[in-house]
Amino acid sequence: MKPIQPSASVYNLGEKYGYLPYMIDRYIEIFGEEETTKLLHFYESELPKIIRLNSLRSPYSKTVELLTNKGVELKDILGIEEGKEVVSSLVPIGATPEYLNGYYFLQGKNSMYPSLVLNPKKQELVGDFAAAPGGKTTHLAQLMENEGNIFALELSLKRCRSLKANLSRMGVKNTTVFQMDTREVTTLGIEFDKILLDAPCSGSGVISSDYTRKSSKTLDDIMNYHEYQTSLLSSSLEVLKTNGKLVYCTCSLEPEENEFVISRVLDKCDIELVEINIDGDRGLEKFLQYEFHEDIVKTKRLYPHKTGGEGFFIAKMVKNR
Amino acid sequence: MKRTYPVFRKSSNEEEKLVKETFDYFLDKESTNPLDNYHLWTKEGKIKEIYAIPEETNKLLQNMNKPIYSSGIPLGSIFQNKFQLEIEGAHLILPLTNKIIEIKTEQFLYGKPIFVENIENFETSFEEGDLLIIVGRNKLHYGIGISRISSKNIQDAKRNAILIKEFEKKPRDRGWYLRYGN
Repeated sequence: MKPIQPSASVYNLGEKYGYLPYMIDRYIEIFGEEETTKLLHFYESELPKIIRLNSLRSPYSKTVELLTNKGVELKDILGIEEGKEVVSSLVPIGATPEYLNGYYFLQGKNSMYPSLVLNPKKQELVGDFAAAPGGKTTHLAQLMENEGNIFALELSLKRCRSLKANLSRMGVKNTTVFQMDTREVTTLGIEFDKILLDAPCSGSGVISSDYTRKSSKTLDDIMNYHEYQTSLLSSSLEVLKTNGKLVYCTCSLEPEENEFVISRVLDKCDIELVEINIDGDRGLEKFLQYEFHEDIVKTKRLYPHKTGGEGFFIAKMVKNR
Repeated sequence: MKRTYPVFRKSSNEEEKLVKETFDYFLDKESTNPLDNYHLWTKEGKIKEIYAIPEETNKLLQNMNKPIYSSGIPLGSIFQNKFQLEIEGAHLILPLTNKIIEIKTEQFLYGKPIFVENIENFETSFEEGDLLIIVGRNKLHYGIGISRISSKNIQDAKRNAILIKEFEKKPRDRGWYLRYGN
């Protein structure tokens, strides 16, 4: 059977918005022409402003009251108690005294899911790799009620500085920041109960906030990310305890940075994917001529135009031995 | 070339004494010292950084010879044998002290000085050169500063006289997180 040829209109739309043609090709491959059109239109709109309330500094109700008194209108986010959408505001939400006191963090809705999916407990030793600027680290600390331990790894000295500033501002005290490459994490000589690996990625899920991504990354760049992400994940799994849980995520929609990475480690490590109970699309079962492991459907893809947030891929796995 | 990293180690008795003196200055004799729940660690450098670390973390960091950038709560720094309290150290003390001055402007958070006319209230008398914790309306923590005027002279001081000078490049007001933290 002859494949259906996509119409010119979606390519014209891609050209109009400044995308490299290969990106349009693969979006059509992933979810068809109609959804691609919706995605391209969605990326031209501004994402809703979201804050995460921080119970380490102030009870949620008190923060909501303080902000409401300042003329900030907030709306609940279904399923995320600490997340609130800023409907309107009479004050700059990123510079209020409450913000500077760490009562809340500016954080996209979908980027709250990886920490929630990892579900860290108070007494655990949790690794947060490639941690800066610390949105997820501070969220993990909040979920752990500032107890147990988080080891946050960050290679860049500059980014360590912003990580430290955010940890301090948010009142986190259970976290140690290591300036080191995650690929060298085995040299720490310890094993973690849980690990969050928010891998550096090409960022194709967050084009709404970075339009340069429409044309800044080639397929070669994506393959370089794939190699890097696979080595980060392999190293991370080495320091995970038996029965320990790991959440891998990226803010990329590219299968090479997501399903292909997971498939490679499924082939060589004794791990199992775990079902994730959040809304979103299942991981891709196939892409181009490749068919992925049948369990890949346990991973989640959060598409911007369907979720009204940043694009994310999330996989949760347990280590057998 | 192999990179070298600052040493992160348990604070010496001398360093602990310097920190404790500053905390004692703020606390009543009856108050529980918040440092009792923490171990003090020092990050070496020309300016030494002092961190308060919980027991659980303290155990893990023993004998760990790795490039630790920070851990726990950054209390302040030691330079030329003097301990300088910084934002989070002050935040730890805030609920336990009355050396507090309440102001009615947010300008201090933007690296600006506090003028006499900005004062809303102060809980206890203070002298020129005293270290004070600064809060805004709703008692939200703004930072710390050194008074340039004694409280007994405030009434007679000019409204535009500077009470507390800004520390533009030191983490002593919470606006620092916006100016330099990111």
